[in-house]
Amino acid sequence: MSSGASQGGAPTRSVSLPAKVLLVSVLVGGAVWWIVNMLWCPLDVSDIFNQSLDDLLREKARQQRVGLSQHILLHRQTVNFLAASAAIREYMEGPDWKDTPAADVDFLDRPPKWLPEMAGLNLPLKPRYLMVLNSRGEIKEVYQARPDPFPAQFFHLPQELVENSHDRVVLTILKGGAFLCASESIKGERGEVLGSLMLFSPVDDEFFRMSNGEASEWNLIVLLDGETQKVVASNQPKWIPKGMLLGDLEQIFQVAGMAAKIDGSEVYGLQIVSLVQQKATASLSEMLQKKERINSVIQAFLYMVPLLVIVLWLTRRITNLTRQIEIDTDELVGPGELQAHQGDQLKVLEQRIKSIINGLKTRTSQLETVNRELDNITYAVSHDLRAPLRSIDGFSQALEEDSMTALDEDGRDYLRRVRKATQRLESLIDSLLNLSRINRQELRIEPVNLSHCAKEVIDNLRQSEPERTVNVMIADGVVAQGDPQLLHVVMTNLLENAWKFSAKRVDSKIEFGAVDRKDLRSEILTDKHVYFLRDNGVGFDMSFAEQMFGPFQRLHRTEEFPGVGIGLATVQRIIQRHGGRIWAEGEIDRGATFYFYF
Amino acid sequence: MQIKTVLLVEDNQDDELLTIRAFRKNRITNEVAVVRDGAEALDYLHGTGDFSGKEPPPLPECVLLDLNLPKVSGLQVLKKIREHSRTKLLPVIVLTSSKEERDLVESYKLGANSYIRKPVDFEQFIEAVRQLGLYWLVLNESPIKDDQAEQE
Repeated sequence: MSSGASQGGAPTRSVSLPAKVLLVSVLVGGAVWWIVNMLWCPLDVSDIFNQSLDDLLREKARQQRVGLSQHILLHRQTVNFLAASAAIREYMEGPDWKDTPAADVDFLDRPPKWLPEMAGLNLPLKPRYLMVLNSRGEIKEVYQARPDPFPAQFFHLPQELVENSHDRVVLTILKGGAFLCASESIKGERGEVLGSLMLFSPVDDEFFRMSNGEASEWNLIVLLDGETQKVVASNQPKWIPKGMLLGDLEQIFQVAGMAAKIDGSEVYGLQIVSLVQQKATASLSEMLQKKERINSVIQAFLYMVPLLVIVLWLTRRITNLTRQIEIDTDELVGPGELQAHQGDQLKVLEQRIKSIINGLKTRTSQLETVNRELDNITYAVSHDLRAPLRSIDGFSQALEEDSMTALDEDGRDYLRRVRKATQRLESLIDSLLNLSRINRQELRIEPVNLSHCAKEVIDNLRQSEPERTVNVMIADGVVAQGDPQLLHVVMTNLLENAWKFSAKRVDSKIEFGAVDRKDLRSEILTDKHVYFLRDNGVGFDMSFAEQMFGPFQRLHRTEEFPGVGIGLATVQRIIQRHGGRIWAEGEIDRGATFYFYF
Repeated sequence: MQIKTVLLVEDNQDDELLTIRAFRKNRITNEVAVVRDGAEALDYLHGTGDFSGKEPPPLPECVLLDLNLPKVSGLQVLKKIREHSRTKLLPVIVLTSSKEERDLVESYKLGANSYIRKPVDFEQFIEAVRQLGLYWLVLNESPIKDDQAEQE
């Protein structure tokens, strides 16, 4: 196989994490939504739906009845207006009024004198039939606005209707037709009753049209004969012909309300029924349910969108993290341990972490072994390397002492060189041991007064070279957190260096303190205190600034300035162990400044 | 008064020679008995093995003990010396190349009376041996001496 991925085992191809999470969220979310919808919502929704439909229908029916009663009120207002007019009073008191006992009726086909000009009057409605009755209740004059055949049943009004016809509106049935009858007394100047005015309106298409505007297809009102339960009139005669039975109506329509009375009128022998087409109910119901379903889908979607966004965001973060970890840990993970997980980042992550842990375990045990070996080597160096040196030195001296005469001056010089080399090798070994000890020694962190420390070192140096005059300035109260023993080593090494490298100047100067933050160069930003040690000694070339901290790195010849070149390396190691940094600035013959923080 | 012996436990013949030379340079005239490893040292002290006789030999004035020894290590020897009632009070001076703190601490823990690091510089070594001899062989009152004086 040429594929590199196959080396570590079978390549596992899987869907990428975001796709997987998205798919699962949508599927699970959808399923939960569907189940909830199936089990719980329909009952609830249909209940709510039925209730709201019912409320809707009742409200529609009520509005229709209000419309009807307002129309009835218009009839009443019209008749009141006419009966109270001066024209009709004057007419009935005048000579034209013939209140003869005979049963003759005047049929008028043009507006009578007592009826003011229609056009000039703002009558609430145009009356269809108007009748004037005398004080005994007999019809004397009839006026009809249109040339329709006069309904003969008007002459056979039920007695109770005539008797009770004053000041009232009656809705009644007369010979198969429904009529509205409104009447009002006509009174003379002294208040005596001269007769009465009656207004008739057949309850027909026009009546309904006037009463309630357009009737919608699922919004019907029907007047039923109270006795026969047959339709007398309706606002939709196309669908509901006269004579239809209530039972038949109920096949097609749903009864939304029934009333035996209407506000503002008395109803005789009629039932008023509000109807709704069943088909309309069904379609309405369907429409509502569809709307409800769409709503719930939209709702579910709206709920899911933020969730999905969060999920996507999280998976993206995981993906990015995984990618970063993959890049960062490529070196840590052996090629044999890598399996090519192409898709799912979580699996990649898991795999990575396992590999890293394995790698770390291996490395830790390797390091432990190496550390043990180093320890043993250090021990051996400390003990075994020293023994032969001692022999060399010891026997060289023995030779020098015992066989002095056998050696010439050259021979004695050689022996001295041997001993000198031995001693130098010893100090190298010691330095190395010290350096390795710094790495192994456990840190004991406590406040350390660096000022005290510096003064102590300087005092020792002054004692060792009392002939030197060095101007030493040590800032007071410089206290740092660190290992006292190791920090003492730092101060000792740095001050000894300063002392040593400024020896050739007459006006040697050494200064120690904490750096003012303002003076720090911007690239060395740290929130810790930065300390400095400055001398005006031989200085150094800045191109060696990094190099001088390496073990056994020396910038000067041994004859010039003695030393093994381990001091700065030790200092750097100690400061690094404290999590800090040291660097140097200087110029040849202009002195050096060491900055450090930890 | 009989001049007491000093027991030198040292496997390195050079070091042995140099130590004895240092003794002589400092005019320390005590007899120096030398054994080459830890086992031999214990045999010498208890009169066992190569050193078996009718009576256990007199104990030395003090023991100069190297740590890095074949067979039985110096620290083991020290431990055995302190365990045994006969040698419990014997002054033991650890004389070693090791500068390791663990050796130092362990030696004192096991009851070493002194811990002296052999310097490489022979002059320093002579000085160290001089002080050692002055202290342990001249100034110090050994409990062993008292015991044997009582016996006599």
